[in-house]
Amino acid sequence: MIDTNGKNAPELSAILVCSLGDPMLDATLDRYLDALEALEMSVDLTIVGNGSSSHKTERLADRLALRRVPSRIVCLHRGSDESTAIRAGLEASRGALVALLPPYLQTDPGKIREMLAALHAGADYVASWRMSRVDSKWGEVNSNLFNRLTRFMTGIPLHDLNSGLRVLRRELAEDVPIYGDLHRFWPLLAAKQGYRVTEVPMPHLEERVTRGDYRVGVYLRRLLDLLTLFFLIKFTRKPLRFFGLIGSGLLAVGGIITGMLCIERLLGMTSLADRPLLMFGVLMIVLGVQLFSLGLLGELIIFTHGRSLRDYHVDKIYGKGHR
Amino acid sequence: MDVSIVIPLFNEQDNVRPLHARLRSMLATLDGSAEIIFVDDGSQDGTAEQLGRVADEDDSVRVVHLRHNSGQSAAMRAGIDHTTGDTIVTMDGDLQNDPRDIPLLLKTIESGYDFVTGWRKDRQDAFLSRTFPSRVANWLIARVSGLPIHDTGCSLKAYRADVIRQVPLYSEMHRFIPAMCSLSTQRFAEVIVNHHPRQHGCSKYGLSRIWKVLLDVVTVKMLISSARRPLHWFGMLAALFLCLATATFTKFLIDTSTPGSDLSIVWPVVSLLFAALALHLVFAGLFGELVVHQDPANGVSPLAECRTIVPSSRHD
Repeated sequence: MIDTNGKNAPELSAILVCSLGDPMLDATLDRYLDALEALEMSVDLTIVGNGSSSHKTERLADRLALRRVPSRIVCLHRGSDESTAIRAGLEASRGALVALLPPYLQTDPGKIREMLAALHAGADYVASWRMSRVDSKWGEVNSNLFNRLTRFMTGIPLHDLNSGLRVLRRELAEDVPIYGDLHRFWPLLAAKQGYRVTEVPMPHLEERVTRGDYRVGVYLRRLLDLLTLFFLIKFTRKPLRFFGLIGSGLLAVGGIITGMLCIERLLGMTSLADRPLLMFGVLMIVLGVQLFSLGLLGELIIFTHGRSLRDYHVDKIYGKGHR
Repeated sequence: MDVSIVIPLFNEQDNVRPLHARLRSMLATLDGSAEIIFVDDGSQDGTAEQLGRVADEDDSVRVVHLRHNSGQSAAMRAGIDHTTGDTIVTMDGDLQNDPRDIPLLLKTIESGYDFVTGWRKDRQDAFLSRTFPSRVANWLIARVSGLPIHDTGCSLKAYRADVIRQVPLYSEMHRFIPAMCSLSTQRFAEVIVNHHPRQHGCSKYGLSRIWKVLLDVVTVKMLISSARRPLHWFGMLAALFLCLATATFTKFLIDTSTPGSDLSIVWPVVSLLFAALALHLVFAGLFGELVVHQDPANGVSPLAECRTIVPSSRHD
């Protein structure tokens, strides 16, 4: 049953990233397969599993062999991150359209049909938006805050970045690189490159609600991700505009404080040795210069491969009598 | 192909037709083959349709559509990447540059220069919002880059293709093309060109770009003076702060050796802060050496004279 990549690529490749040891996997898989078989197009399924035993893989393969949808299993090392798993799934499959399936059923798999329709209407990336959330109040507030903050920082109007069900074009997947936790922000990075991103609202299912048992580390990591994203979207080509602006702000504060103290000293109003404020002023100058020099180093890095940088994306080329 | 003309356009639907007509009548006077490359930088008005029609009628026109508005530098890079000519001319799509200046630019290139920039001696823009800031920026850029060019902001320029293809064009580097070109060649000239007031559409610039330009100027200064030896640049800065550290530390030493004076913690702390900064800068410079080492081809050569060429008959 492991598909040998026949000559005809399917129209849609579904990719399910999951842990093969998950006891709920069989039930989830059945729901997905039912939904995929109901689509009027050629479909295949790639399961990317983390940390599996060969016995579990074989059992899963036997189950899959009974179904109409051709499928394959890709096994990754334990601890591979989700972006890597998605990449592995993309490499193993060939469909021009890609559906990414989350390992938990928080949304109705039947909605894939609706999402595909949005894709055919001209979108390049269709996200799912879980409306009327049924998880804990705490989780909902958190998620809301995160999405609001992201919307505010990037200006791209998406409502639910954490929902795993998404449908996209392979072209986009290959053009917009993701790594680490960036898969969450994939639609934002894609929109930044001019791809059309939309979302389809759908009800939030009660099944397997994960309780808000996140630890502090998770929130911290989310915030850092957001900072990365903000930096990547706004300042990738202009590090000095980021570091330089903050650096010169600090430099100005430090300069003003130090300057005022020096003037007071020259007028004989104070003795510098009695003013700990001087230390603060000098510290600000030091920090400012450090940030500024970081920005300059960033500029140097960008410049060193400046000749090969292509900041544009050609949509189409038009004209007669040319290549 | 002898000449490629690259024109980035963003929402200039009313200017496409007249611009193309003027280019055609100018090209008719040239011998040698020419192509016109329009770059549609994600326009949202009818620019794309207008360009399509022009390309249908004229075989020498090619249109590169960008997926979204990417800015002038990226649009120019896109256009240049799709040229086949030996000489590349760039100009604005707003009809403020005059295609009739192009033959002189080309002649200057032929006489042995690597790049030629236009100089809008009589600018036809609002003084306070456009011309004055531009003068200041030009003066600053000229000072910083060491290039005696009067008008780096003029888009009407001509280059030998192999020179411009080597120039990094990202972010908003189009303002500093001459400075960047000067990293690889010293044979350039300046030609006085016409400038017309804007007739259709509106300017895409505003005063908000000042702080961006200022930071860019610092970047360019750093790149030009240290693209090959970052440690020298950072080292100079480090030396300055080391001097401050030494001065404050001396003050502390004098205080300790003078009996009866009050000892203060402020001086040694200030001294240490400056010393830490000096150390940081030295390591930043070393890090820079590591970065530059990745591409040793970033050559910087000494500056030469710039010649200003005045058209024998100014046309109006």
